[in-house]
Amino acid sequence: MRPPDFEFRSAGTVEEAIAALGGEDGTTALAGGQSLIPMMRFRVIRPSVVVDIGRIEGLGSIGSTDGLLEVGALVTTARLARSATVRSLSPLWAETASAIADPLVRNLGTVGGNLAHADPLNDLPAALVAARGHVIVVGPSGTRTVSSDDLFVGPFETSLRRGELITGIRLPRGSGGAYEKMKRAAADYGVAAVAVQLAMDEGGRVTRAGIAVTGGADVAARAAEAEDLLVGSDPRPSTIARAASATAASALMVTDDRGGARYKRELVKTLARRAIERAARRGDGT
Amino acid sequence: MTAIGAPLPRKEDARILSGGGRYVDDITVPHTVHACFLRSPFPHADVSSVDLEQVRRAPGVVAAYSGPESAGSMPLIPSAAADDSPPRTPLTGDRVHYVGEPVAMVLAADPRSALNAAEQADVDYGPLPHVLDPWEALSPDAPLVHPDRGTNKIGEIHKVLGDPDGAFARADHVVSRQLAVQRISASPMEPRAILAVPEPATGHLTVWLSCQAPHTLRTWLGHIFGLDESKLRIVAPDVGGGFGSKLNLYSDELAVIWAALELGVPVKWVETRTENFTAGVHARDQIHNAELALDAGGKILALRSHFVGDLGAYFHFFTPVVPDLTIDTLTGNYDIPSVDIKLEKVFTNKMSIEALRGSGRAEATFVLERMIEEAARELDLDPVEIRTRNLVAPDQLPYETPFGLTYTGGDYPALLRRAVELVGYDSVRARQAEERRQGRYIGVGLATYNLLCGFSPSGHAWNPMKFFPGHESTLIRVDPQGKAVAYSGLCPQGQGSDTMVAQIIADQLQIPFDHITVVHGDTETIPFGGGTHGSRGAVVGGHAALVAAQRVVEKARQVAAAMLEAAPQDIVFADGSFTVAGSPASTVSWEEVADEAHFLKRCGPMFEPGLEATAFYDPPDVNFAFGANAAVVEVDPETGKVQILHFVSVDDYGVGINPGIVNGQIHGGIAQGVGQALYEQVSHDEAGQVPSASFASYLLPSAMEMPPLTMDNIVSPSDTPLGVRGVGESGTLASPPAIANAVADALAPFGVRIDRTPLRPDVVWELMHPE
Repeated sequence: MRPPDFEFRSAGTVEEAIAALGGEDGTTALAGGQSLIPMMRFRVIRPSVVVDIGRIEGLGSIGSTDGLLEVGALVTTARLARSATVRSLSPLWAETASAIADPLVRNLGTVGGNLAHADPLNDLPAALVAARGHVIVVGPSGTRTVSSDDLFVGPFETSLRRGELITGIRLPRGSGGAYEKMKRAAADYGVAAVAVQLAMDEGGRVTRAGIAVTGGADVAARAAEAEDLLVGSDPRPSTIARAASATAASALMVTDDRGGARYKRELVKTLARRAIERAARRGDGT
Repeated sequence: MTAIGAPLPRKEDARILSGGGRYVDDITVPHTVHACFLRSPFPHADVSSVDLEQVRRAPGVVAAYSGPESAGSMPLIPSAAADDSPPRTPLTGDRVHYVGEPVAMVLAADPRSALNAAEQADVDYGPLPHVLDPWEALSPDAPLVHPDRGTNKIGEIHKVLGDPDGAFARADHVVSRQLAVQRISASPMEPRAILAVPEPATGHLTVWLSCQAPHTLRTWLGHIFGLDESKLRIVAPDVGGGFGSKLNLYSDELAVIWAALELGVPVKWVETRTENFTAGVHARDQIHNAELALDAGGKILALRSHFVGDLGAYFHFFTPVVPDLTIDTLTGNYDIPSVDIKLEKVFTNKMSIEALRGSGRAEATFVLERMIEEAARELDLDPVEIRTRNLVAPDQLPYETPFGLTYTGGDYPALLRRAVELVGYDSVRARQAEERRQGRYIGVGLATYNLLCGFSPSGHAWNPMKFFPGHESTLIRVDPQGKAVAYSGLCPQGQGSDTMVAQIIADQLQIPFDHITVVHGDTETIPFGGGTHGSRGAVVGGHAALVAAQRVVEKARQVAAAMLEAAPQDIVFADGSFTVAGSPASTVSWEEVADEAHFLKRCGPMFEPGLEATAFYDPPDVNFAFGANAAVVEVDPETGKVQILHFVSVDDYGVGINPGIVNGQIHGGIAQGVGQALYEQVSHDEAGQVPSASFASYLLPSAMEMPPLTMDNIVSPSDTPLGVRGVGESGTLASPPAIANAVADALAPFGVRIDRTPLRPDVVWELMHPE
């Protein structure tokens, strides 16, 4: 490993981490290291100080209160994928976690790191947006809660302020979720993915809808028009098809070596249709 | 029970799988300095200036060399395959010709300091027009890769054999397609690595090199630097994959050697993966305009292909002869009496192409098997039927191809029949019809292969190289305990040839497999060697071990004869003992003979002491292996994703020395074929950059992408003492066309034409949804 020179610090507590992260310019937090370390090796980023937050206790729990699923920032994506609590309270999140990269990455990558990195190809941001979840952020001026819509500013950019650290997430529970991801190969980044979270009434009508796209130019673009189309509807194939088209229209897909924009838009439409269908089937059960 | 054919565990595995492997980077020598290269970011540019002042002042830096300053004192690198190699030096002097070409080198106390210092360099380039497309390179107004040559065309080979014009004139059907095989990377698990250790006081130089052919490269190294081979030692320790990419001394490796000689200190360089994608050789990259002439019954009358081979900017070891292999193998196992094959080889502003597992023959197999599949479609013949009508039948053997290759063994129709049976061809067809009604698209594809291999008998037309022994050597030395060490000229990179060689020797010496140690990859201890490539390990190296072992037994027989006071011709060697024929009580064991051969306690000086022998085996001819593959795929018409549901490989590799190893070789070859068919591509954008230069973009199939495999074999021993055929490259030939044919079959209702690989989801989708 040949990164540029950097200083390494290890934080034992959230307070120590915040103090360190609020220090000199170019300070960054290291959790699972599955994105940070490769980027440092490629010298794409050159942090002056790396603060290891991986040893902080108390950020690794999974629990639920008041209909909310609470996941600590240091929970690995592998644990997220196999947690019985997550599977039962948010199939969307369990499914998304198991779609991340490969087992080696999932064993080390963390929930907080996946979100904070704000890579448009990372999976958890779309799952957070679709589920209308929140992140809990601790910083020099205390603790605040940031909604998913306010967290992602742009590619690799969040609204976290200097010295702030994501310590956990809170998600509304709901069975009506699904994540459809298209990967070219098992260990490849996805080409695109669609996260869907639906809540339905006893008559099978959609009462709430969350849809977000992975793999576009923006991080976890919310498909608001598609959500509006679904809310109040009985999700029949024709409605789902319209919502899928609206999802594809809402995300800016760009041509790169994974495919042309035209292909990716059609792919998003297909993935959206499949995800909405599955989410509706699951949502029906609650 | 003989060792040959036994499913013995590989000698190599326990050590390598438990972390005991020793690769070049694991070797440490005191006072080593570490190299880092500055490389061209442009496909074609003048190097205006290289300022290394800040570099030289950076912490830990020992020296820094730029091409403009140093090229004049560096040797020119000739091609081992052609006299008209474009001149190049280890660091380029004034102009760069591909992205990744080394322009300066930094040497520092550790690798990270070298990299940190290299970032301080100030290099100015004057970009020049570049050419990336091989057809465009042939046009008169194309930018010239090497202006002094006046053309980008390297040469042309045109073979018109039989009566192709007549055949096309009288043909009932002519099928024409343009087919391309993309540029791929060998992607060895261990990138390139070198440690050059000079001994200034004596003029000796030891080079630890991750390579496939240390003796060949020693000769080349001596030639390039004007050094005595007797003072050069090349050692290939464990090598983590080569696939043809490590049959070279690259410019950066030669720069490392030059610097070691210049500074008089050991210099180490270990390539990064990113460098391997641009500065390591590429492969394939051919475009064929192919035509088949057929009669009304589907019998092929002639094959025509006028094709271009994009060789990149320079000649590496084999570069200019790699596409030549495609020409003579284009008729495969089929009886095609007339051919018109023209190859144009061109320079472009890309890294060189080189040999890569299946080189030349994989391209030929893809073109031939795609063409036959397309002919079947146009003539409305079943793909099995058209192949059966055209395969060389057993009663046609020996069969001479239009190119003068003689096939003597095998049953090609039987291999195809077995593959068809194992894939459940008829039931797949029935299922296909049913699933299409439900909007699911499965397809079945076939392909056969003929692997020309075992390169190459000395003086044979297939051996155009200057320093390229077609023979192989083995020295077997038996110790006083009767255990043997074999010094093999092979240079495996994971093939398991130590095990193969030991199995051959065990049967001859009649000693346990575990009593044999095999040493390879060191020019100081091994008599000579051609190395490991071209499916030659068992075919050539195996026979060297066989003959050496037979010679050791003859020597042991003389010792036994002296011990038993009998004539050597009366001594019978069986069950590990030497016995006088007809006198069972007059017997000595192998161990007693080995002891006596060294210490002469019983007989005194009745024979020359010692128990060892060396053999050089020069094969009388090239070797062929053959087989048939079948693939069943499902294509998701909405996402374009191809999933291989089942893959069948039926192979004739002659006598299998170790079933696990031959199956593993075929398995691995198929994995590379799956990569070529569906995933891998070295891509260049319009600016000549290589966006595929990381595994985030360059897709390599993993275990997750491997389909369920059904493997079977039909053995026809070759006309060699061991009866073996080559196997190392077998899996790479028919798997890409079998998969591509299956995709074409699956998408037949959409009228989609499959004329190139890799068939990645976006590519398949674009074919189905043209703008």
